[in-house]
Amino acid sequence: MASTSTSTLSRKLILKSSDGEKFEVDENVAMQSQTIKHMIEDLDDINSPIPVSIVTGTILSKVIEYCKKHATEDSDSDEQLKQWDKEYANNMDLNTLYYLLLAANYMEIKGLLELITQCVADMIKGKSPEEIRAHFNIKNDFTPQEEANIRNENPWAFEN
Amino acid sequence: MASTPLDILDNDILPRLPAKSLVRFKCVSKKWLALISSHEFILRHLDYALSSNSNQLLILTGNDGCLYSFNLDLPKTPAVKLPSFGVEPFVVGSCNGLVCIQSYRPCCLVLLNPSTGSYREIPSLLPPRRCSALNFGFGYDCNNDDYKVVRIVDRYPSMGFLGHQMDRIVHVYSSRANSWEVIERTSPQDSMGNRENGVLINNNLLHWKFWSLQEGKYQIRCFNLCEKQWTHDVPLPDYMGSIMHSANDIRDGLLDFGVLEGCLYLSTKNPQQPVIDIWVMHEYGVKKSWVKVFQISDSCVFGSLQVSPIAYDSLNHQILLRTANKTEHKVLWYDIKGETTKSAEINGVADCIWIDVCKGSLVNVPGGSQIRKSAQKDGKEALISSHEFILCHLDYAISSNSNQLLILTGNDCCLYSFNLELPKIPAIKLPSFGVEPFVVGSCNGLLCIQSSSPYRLVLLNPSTGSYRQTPSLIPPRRWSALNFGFGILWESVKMVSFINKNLLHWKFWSLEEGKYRSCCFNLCENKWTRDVPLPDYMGNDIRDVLLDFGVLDGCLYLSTKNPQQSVVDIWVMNKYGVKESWVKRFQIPDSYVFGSLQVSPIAYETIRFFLEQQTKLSIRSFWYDIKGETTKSAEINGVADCLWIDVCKGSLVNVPGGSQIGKSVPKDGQEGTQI
Repeated sequence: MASTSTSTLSRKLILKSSDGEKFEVDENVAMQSQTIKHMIEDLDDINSPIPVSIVTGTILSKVIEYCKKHATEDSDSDEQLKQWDKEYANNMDLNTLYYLLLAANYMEIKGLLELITQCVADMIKGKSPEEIRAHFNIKNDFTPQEEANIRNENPWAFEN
Repeated sequence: MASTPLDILDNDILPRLPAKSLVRFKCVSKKWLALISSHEFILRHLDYALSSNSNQLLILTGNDGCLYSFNLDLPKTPAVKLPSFGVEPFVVGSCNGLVCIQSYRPCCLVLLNPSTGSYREIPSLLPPRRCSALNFGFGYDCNNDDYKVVRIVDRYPSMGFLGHQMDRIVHVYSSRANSWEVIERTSPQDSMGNRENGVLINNNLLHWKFWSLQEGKYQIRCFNLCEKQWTHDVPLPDYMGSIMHSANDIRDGLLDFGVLEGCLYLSTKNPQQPVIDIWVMHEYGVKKSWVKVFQISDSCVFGSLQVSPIAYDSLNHQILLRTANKTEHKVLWYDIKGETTKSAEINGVADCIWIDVCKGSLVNVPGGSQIRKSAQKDGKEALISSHEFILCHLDYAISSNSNQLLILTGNDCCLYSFNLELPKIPAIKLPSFGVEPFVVGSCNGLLCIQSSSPYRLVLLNPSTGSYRQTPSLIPPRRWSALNFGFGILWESVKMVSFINKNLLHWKFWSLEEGKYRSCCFNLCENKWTRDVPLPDYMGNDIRDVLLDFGVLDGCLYLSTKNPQQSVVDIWVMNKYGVKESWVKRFQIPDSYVFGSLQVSPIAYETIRFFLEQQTKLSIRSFWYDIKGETTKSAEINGVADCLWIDVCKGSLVNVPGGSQIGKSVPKDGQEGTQI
């Protein structure tokens, strides 16, 4: 491959997911992850794949989609980017959001973590305690009486 | 979600939720209760609310004169009426999610957290007489962790001496000391309006506007709560332009001032055009930082005398406006781009005449109490625990089809109760007293549950949690032997209570007659009384085809295998003890019940019967539609796989001599003696 001006500006990195899938991405895309940034600093050979050990290929592709969008600063206004974020997050089910949350946390991508955190918060804010238990697989360790007491103490939180 | 990165959930997600949701989530689990109630979490939640645009509450005054709170983060949830402490409630100020409310008859000031119901009444000062202005401000002194209320009264010296100077008294209330002190008594050179709340910046700086008689214009002066004194004047922009103080027009164009997104704002009448200017001071105390952020055409706000931006919706670029003139108050949304207004309709408040904003927080009012239920509800609570009410409720439950509980045995071998009238509420797991619990019978809303290891019988009201263990007999070993040796179906299962709840029925296989007998044991007399006549369900066949019997809608029923057709007949004895009153109520084709050995109608819901069916291998419950002759599997919300079903009435009846479940929350007077 002939060396062009772009290739010197932006090196390519290879990210390897936990299930072995490989992704070639621009360095500035990958560098949005603090974790990868630190890994590169310690790396001698940047041509060898960088393992992203706890993230599967499906999730990693979503993470890269986000990073790519946010790496190209010039094209979109803040407003457009916000709109894109909103649609990006709204298209995920709770399960995907959960794994994305883990990935963003592990990879230390601040913007993505913030986005997904708010999205999960918006998703659960209107739920009932029963639905919360189901979502997060939490066991209700109150007796019916204890639970009733808590409900009585906060009568209007349980209205509607 | 299978499991959760817990620190992310606790530290990052939960603090973003509306306070109201968090209060509701206190009953998710003990861990969540501890977390949400902890001081650290309350502060983290408050920090997030204060540093972001989230957790905005609107405190609305309806045209019924009541206060409502509405959460901008939960727009679908209707506004909630706040408890009333007196008439004509009026929000004096808010800080850290606490609201200070003044009301009359009785004249009082109350601190209230509208999200949690934590509140405290502030000892009242006497209502001032001869006053021309009575104003309050509310804020927080972070140096002393003290919530404070400032009261400013301007009054005439005494009747008839109009030439005399006014008198101004400033009081400050400290929630730490729970008392008022006089800070200042002066003869002011300026005047202030009435019912103008202190405008709070940075939690501790309260601002009021004063009309300076000397200069002929408004000044905004700041009272510092930490220092308990007036500290400075806030510089204002030249909103009057060049016509300021022109010959005959000394009218000041300042309409209102307040806080928008943490900054001081002014609304002023533009001296040239028929518009209202909204100014914002981006850097506090710096005159040059005042910027005109937008204008509202006079026609949009009907030439109001007061126009106050209350909240900013950045997503839709609209501003919530409060407008007031001499006769009318209105709340409007103003679209900044389109320059249009639209009346703000708040879900749950018919006609909103005034609006204030407040952050939603979990902060407890210092020294406060918890509003549990409003005064009327307190009355109801006493009513609901009264003996008469319990009986009246029970009578209705028994005489009607209402208050049916299903007691389900899940495949985890736990018991669950499910209310047929609240089908959306998942089944609730009943407390366990031993393994393999098994419902022996139910009466007046009390369940008798047998369980093994430890072997015991327990009486339990599944609706209230009242329970009692009955002293155990030694487990009878010969029971199984009896079952096997004689082929008698000893139906200890079916303690069928019936008529005045004192007649128990079992079926016995009569060896002599080669058929079933239904025998009755009278609990009042403590002896076997008589056989219940059965219908001729066998026709000419000699094989007894009785599948089961029980109670349905208060009558004895039989389920029998029809000797001629491949159907199961359900008989009901409409008049107890009268053989002629047995009627075949309906039939179920054998194919639907897969040739089950036991088919038992459990509950009746207009045209559907809830059926339980048992073959040698499996137990299944389903709904049977009598008219359509169709079946549908009965899925119970909250119970994965239901093995067995019993019915019980929901009642408030206490187990005699029983205790109350809920050891960590002991209830006075309810701890019965336990044998």
